[in-house]
Amino acid sequence: MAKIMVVDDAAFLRAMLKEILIQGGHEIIAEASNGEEAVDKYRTYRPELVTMDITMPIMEGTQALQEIRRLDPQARVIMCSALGQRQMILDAIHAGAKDFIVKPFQSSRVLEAVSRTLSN
Amino acid sequence: MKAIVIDDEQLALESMARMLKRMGVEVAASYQNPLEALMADQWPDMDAAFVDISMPGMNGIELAARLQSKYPTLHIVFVTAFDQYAVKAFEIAAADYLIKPVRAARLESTLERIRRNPRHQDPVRAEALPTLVCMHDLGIDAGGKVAEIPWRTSKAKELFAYLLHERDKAVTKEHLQDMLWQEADTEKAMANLHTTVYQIRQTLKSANLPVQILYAGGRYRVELGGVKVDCEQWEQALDQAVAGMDEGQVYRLLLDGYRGDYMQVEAYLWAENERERLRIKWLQRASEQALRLEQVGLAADAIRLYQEIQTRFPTWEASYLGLMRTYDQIGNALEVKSQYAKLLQMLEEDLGMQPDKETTAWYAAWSASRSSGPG
Repeated sequence: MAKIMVVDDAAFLRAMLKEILIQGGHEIIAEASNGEEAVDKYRTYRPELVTMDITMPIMEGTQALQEIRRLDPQARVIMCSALGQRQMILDAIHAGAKDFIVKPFQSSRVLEAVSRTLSN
Repeated sequence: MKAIVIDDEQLALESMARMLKRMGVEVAASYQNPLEALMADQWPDMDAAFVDISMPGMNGIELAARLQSKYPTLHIVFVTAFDQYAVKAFEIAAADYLIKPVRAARLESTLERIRRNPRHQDPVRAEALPTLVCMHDLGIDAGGKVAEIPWRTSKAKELFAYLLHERDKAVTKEHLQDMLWQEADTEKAMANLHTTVYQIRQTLKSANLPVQILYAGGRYRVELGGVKVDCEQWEQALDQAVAGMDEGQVYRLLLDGYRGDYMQVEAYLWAENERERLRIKWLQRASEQALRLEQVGLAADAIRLYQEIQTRFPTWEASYLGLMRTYDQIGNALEVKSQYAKLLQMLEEDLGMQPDKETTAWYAAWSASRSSGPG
């Protein structure tokens, strides 16, 4: 059970992810549709965990991850990517992402990644 | 042409009716009260409605939306003293948008536009209209044969594709300039946009498509003129088939009706969310359908659908487990093993993961039953 912020530019993907997380017993305390908004809302809500889409307009996920880590070195961020974004995932992991999940989201994989991240 | 005028101000109402009459339009009625207009029974005969936006009681946009849902082919022209409503007005596919005081020359061009696009369409001709294809790649489908549209440049194609993507919404010219000619200075970008829109209009005309690119108040939008878009039709047909539990139709739509991902070949970045939305819709329906086929014992059909899921979504683990279960139903142990091996390899190579618990548990139980059980 964690307070989570979901970041994705596609509203339907946020909705899908929220459904999975809520069914897994988590609470969604904020949502953002681009990196800039994500950084702002992180500052305000201080979620225990963030799911962050990699490709977004205005500010990319990887950059938002870096800014959030600068705000809070303990921040737990899980990246969401499409298949074929291997390099971007690696970059994000170097920049401090705790885990990653691939689209389309599979409920068991999402919840696994979240509980792995929370227990570390 | 027959038209109705609605405006709460008596003077404005009279002046608009007078102008229209002078231009040869038959003004069948004029109303100061939008509710009264809504109750009127002449609507089915009307070609156009000139609607003032800011009126007490019910605003013009709401009135127009209600009229449009009742009479989809009615041309709606908004008239207003303010242009702050332009965006909202175009969302309901207005034929035009006039700012008060309305000048005769401007009104002439509105009428010209309506005349070019008559609402009473010959049903035979409507039937013969081609479909715009967005699945897999952008083209036209005329009687089952899909052909490319001979665009003059790739920018012309992308601009048209974008306006089609945003259909029923009007897009500002600044947005289009930024999107397509980011590197050029404003003047150059504006010239490029004009040229490209001109080229698109020429291409549409020579391809005999009744589709138009309209411009009003600094915004462009596409008017489909009755032409349908394949992914929209596919989605509607699929929803209907699912709601009506027409399993055969669902299966056909999933396997043959889905030509490919939305503008997959063009791979426009701005189309990505729609592409993903349609892909996921396909995946959800296909997963449900494959499971149902598996459960009722139609193994061959289930296998075909699971394989299609696997091809389109190699990381979707449920397809491997589904295939393992279905192959087990028909006693094909070799394929069960091969699917499990394939899953292990995919997870290892692409994601550095192990199969999930459900899959490993199933496979362990299956292996155990084979070594202990008969056969």
